[in-house]
Amino acid sequence: MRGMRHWFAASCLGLIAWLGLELCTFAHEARPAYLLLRQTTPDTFDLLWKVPAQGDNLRLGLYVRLPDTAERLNESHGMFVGGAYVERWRFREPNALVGSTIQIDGLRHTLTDVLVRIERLDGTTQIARLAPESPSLKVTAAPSGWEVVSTYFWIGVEHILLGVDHLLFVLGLLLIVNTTSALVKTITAFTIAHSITLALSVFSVIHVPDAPLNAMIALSILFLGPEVVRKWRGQSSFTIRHPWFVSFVFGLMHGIGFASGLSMTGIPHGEIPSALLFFNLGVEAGQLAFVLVAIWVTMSLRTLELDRAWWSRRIPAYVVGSLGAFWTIQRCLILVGLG
Amino acid sequence: MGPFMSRRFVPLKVHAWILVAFFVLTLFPNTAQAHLVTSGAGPFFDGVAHFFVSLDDLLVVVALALLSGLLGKTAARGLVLVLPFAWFVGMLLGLSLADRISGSGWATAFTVLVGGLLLSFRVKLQAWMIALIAGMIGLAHGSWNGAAMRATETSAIASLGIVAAAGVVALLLSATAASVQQSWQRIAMRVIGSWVAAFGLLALAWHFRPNV
Repeated sequence: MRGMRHWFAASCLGLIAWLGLELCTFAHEARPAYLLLRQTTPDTFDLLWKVPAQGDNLRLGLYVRLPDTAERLNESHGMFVGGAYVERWRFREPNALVGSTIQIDGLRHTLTDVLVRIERLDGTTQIARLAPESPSLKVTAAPSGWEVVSTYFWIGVEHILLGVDHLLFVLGLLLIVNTTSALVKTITAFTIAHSITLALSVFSVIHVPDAPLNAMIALSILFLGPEVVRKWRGQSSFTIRHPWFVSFVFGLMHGIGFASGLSMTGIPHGEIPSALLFFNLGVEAGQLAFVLVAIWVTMSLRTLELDRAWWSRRIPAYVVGSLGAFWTIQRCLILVGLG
Repeated sequence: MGPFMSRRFVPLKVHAWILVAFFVLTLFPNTAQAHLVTSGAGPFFDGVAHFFVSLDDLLVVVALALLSGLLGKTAARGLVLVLPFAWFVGMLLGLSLADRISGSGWATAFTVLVGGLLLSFRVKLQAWMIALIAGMIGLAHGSWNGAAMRATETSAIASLGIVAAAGVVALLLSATAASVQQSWQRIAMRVIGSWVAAFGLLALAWHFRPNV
């Protein structure tokens, strides 16, 4: 039996290592691209195209295809800035793009999204999120407010569901809470904390560089691993007694991480409040869905009396602790320039 | 998971309402694509989405999960432990032997038909037989999924999404069925089995339809 457990643990660690590597790639490719079209005269537009970079001189193979009626007025100027490749050019389109289609070539072969924003002379804007399964946009004359709301809401949902590190932190919290009221307090504290720092980051009140922030987020997951083990052993600790406090403190860091996902889209000043609100609501909806599924799974394991099996307790804890350790080491190496 | 949900907090009503909500949601699918879905949220969720829009995969798991739950907790445990593991092994086989695996159309329909009939008649199988059937179904469907993934060059991480979705659905539905007490609820689950069987029969007939 002991030998089988060792074999099982080794298999789990191998799987987790593979998962960690896969998820790193996955997280990197999830950064969105951004296309801004600003109307300068009735028939001309300034175009800004921002594509996630890979290293210092490589970029994702995404290219803007404008309608055939668009005529380029100058050469594009491209450069690598802050983890992205940015280029600008100006073009003329006689119908002000109304009714025409803008397509992103290469998007179907990636995992990333493209946020498109069209600013018109009359002050109206059209915003859309293009995804691999829908890589084109039809420009409308009068965009609805619903477009803005739904776009940022789904970016928020997607960000939390793709942010496996955030979900693992929430899972770690679920593993150490004792009662339903403690669960509610802990999740609420996490929500409040990350909402505060998300807002402060978006309004540029605080700024934390990506490398140390990512290392700290990984450390927050690793931190919960030993706490789960203490919980199994019937021991107590400050975290087990007051999980809401730990949730709040680490939630502040996770909020800054959420902000990096939102800031990559380059949200405009005029729409920061609504974009922030609906992005945050999307994050909450995704988080709530994850928590509800986790609770339902727990109830089902209990109903089938599988909750007493050693593996049903250890697998989630090993996943949290091992991935937390893996990411912490990996991100610390990046921090000191060895990754 | 922490003990915040003690046994007295797992009333049947909760399971029942969640189950009703689940079936209402499945009545309004967003997309109905066969292989392999692009969710826009990465390969893991592509795998999850693929499972939920592939009725042949979903329905056979639903039928087996409800049947095992109705047959008791031991049978349900057997299903929950064996099905995801077998599905995963099947996917690995499918990924590695993609060239030799083909023509799964009638076979998937047949497994759905068998699963539906077993549930609708509530065939009193022993726990080891449920585990054996779960293993065979998991291997078969997993290998077909794996072969399809290889053909469409889908990321291997999507296989984890499919396996996770199959395992979670099996766990949730078998636990729900195991906690059912009243006879009308058991009958309702068997009615679901008859619908599943009807779907399997229609799919089988469609596959063998004469060319006109």
